[in-house]
Amino acid sequence: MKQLLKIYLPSTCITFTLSLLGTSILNLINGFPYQSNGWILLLFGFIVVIDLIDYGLSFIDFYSYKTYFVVELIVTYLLMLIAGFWGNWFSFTASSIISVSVVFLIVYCCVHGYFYKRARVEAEEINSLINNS
Amino acid sequence: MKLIINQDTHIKETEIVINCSYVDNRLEKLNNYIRQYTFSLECESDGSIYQLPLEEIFYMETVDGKTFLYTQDHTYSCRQSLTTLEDKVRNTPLIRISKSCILNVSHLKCVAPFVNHRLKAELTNGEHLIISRNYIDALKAQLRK
Repeated sequence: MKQLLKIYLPSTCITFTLSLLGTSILNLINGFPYQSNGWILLLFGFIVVIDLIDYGLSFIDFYSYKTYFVVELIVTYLLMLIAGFWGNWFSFTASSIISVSVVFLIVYCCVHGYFYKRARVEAEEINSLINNS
Repeated sequence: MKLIINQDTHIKETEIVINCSYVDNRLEKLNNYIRQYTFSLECESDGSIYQLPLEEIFYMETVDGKTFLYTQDHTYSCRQSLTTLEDKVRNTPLIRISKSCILNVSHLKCVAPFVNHRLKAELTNGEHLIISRNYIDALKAQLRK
């Protein structure tokens, strides 16, 4: 429960908000001013699946943070392409794949950056406690 | 703080007495630190049984159902489970940092962010351990004591 409130709920909210913002901007640029409610629900479901993948990856002992970052990036990116194809989220042309990939990468980096920063603050707090003891 | 050591060959047992107006956090920490010198754990290595002083233990770990105690440069096995050991070392600088590991924070050098909201601990002997996210708050509380 604690993990859900501290990690998965904030990450879902951040990812959902940033993804909606990113795709809304892309749609406006491409001349599609409307988004369907069904798509928004699908996006939410997709993010929940990503959270489950993240939880699953937590059981693997990665050598470094970079390895974990890259592995999760590849897994979730492939999943996003499959979901995009299956849910007809975007046309599979070079330009739309590139623009969707850019949005995906920005959102992914923002979420990871946020949690990495939080972990660094926590680590610094513990290190100062160690130094003061 | 005044420190007095009375050395006398007639004293049969070493005794530490702290006279204070009240026990604050620093004194509590000192108390916990001294406490680890007061008892040892029975463990085995190469068929011999040893009494290992608590302050020499860097960490204790369970691997494949067996418990191991790690010092600066030696590994000992222990017949007791990690849960039993955890109960024994309560109110000492040893604290659980994951389901399979108990760390002596006296030997903790620093921590760094690690995969999936966990922390990587570096010990004074250069070894690294993973602190599970569920135990981070307990570690902070232990260090604040």
